[in-house]
Amino acid sequence: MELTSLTIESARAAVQERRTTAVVLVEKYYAKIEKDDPAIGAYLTLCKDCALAKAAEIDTLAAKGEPLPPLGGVPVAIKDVMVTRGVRSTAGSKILCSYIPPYDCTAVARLESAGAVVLGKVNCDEFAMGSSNENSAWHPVHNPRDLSRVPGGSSGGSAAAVAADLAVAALGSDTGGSIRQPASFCGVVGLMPTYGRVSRYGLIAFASSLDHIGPLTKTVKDAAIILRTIAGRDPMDSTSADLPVPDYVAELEKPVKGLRIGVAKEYFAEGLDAQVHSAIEAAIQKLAQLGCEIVPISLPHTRYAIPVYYIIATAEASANLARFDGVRYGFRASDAKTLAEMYRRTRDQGFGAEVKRRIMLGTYVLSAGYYDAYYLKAQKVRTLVARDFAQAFKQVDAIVTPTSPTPAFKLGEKVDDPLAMYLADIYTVTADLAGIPGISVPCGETKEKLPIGLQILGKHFDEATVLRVARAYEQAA
Amino acid sequence: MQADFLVKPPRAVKSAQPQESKQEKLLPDVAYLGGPNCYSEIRELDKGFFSVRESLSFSMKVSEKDVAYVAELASLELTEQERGRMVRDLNSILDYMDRLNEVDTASVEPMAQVASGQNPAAAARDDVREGLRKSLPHDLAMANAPLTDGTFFKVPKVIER
Repeated sequence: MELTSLTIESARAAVQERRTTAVVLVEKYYAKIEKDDPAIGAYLTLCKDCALAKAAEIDTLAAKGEPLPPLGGVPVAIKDVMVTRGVRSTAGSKILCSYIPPYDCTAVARLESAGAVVLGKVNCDEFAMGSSNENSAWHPVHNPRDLSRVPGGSSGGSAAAVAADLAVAALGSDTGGSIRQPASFCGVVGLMPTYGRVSRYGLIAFASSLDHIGPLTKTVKDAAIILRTIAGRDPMDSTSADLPVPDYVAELEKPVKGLRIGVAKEYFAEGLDAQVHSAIEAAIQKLAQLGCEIVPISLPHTRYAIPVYYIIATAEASANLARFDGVRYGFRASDAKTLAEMYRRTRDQGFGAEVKRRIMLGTYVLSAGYYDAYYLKAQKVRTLVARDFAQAFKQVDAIVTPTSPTPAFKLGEKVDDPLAMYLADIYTVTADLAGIPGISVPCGETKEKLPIGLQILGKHFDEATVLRVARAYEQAA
Repeated sequence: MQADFLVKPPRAVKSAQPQESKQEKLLPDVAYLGGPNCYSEIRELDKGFFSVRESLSFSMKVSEKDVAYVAELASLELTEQERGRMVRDLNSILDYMDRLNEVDTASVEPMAQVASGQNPAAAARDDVREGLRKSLPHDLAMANAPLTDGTFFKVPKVIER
């Protein structure tokens, strides 16, 4: 059974129809991980016992001829920022090097209830802070499409695992682009649902008003299947929306003819790589051929998105990361003589450079005297960014942009320049600020064979349209 | 259940040499932004959005004293080297943030809630509606603690200043 051809549907079908067993499938994936992952670095923790036990349960059902749940026997990987009961979860950080969560992330629990088999936890930038997976405290991840380049971040491990067939699908998290950008760098599909569509319970928090959980998959249909499984109200997350979950898979094949697609000039200005530009232009042509109406729009506050994002995200992060103090879990500095010293040393030794930088920035912008100038100002400009989209969505049903201004850059290229790294998120942060859904789908390659991603943004809770457009493009491309 | 923790680094693969920006200067200057390549990229992206900023000199918003103060607020004991680096990084980042001053937000409401069309804050909390939920058993809650006496978390004593 060729691992490269497996999707959620075909893997489940193979197990259901007894052409293989879930246990054999899991063993094949572990063999591939052992062979290929040393060069990639996608995985941090493997849970072989759990996975084989779960696979055996699925096989028992299949042997009895019972219908398998929607992800029955499908091997998946989970980004290490999501807690998994009994399985070490580090959020990519040394400060949680020994943390074994006593509870499950809701999204993971829902996937498991649907029959998915968790192979292990995948690598990410520390506390999801980064755009290249070079900020992992453990080791960087290498892009499977070109091992000298980054896979993107912060869900670099998730994207790399799916791209290298080390899992059929993965869960990632997106705060400023961390699902979509690595998906585009690695040539896979990455979906960020609307804020509140998927519960954040069990997602180790980075920025609570910007964090999202979403799938990274090989196909748009797989992303729809996962979204249908993990979406929905969760009493453990009061920001999770109390709205019904549509059958995203059933809606997928609806024709896109007549849909109005917005193209914002601000996303096609200087600085955009020429090859990315032409690939996106070609994609827009394709959508026009499919019967979509292409509408030029403007999102004038786009240029403020990065500063707004980095003020709000770091401010929220400085609050969310205050809990890591060496008292109740994780790393504790051993040489402290007083409580205050313990807090300070634990945090200085346990956190990496980027995390500390963001905590400092966040603390500064919230501190007395600066709160109005930075944080409050950023919150107001955030309203304007969101309003840009609200206005645009009166004229269009979806907006199409490049996912990233460039294809995957080389490892080490931007590590010494935090600001240059931040600017890599320029096309993705706006959606997080507005809370709207977005997907990245593969859209060709550069001459150097590097994947390019097409981003499709939609209205709040209109993932159905986003997925439909993505699917139509995927079929036609 | 035990899990295998993979700490093995990937097989060494040739990667690009990092930018030679091991600058030890404490005062940021125009060339700071990542060296020649990164710098021109940022300028390109910046140009793409609107007019290029005239003045490229950084104001020293944040001094070493400010960094020390913020580090104390954030409970971070930075090393000497980290403090110097932090002054540079914070200044360059905060300088970039200045462009928000171009926006007139006099009559704009801050965006406190992301959720549109819903009001999760107005919903009664489930524990109010349904009664208190069972919390984690004591032993599970203590399982990850670096040091306990069986009942409480043990930490170094608090010394009055």
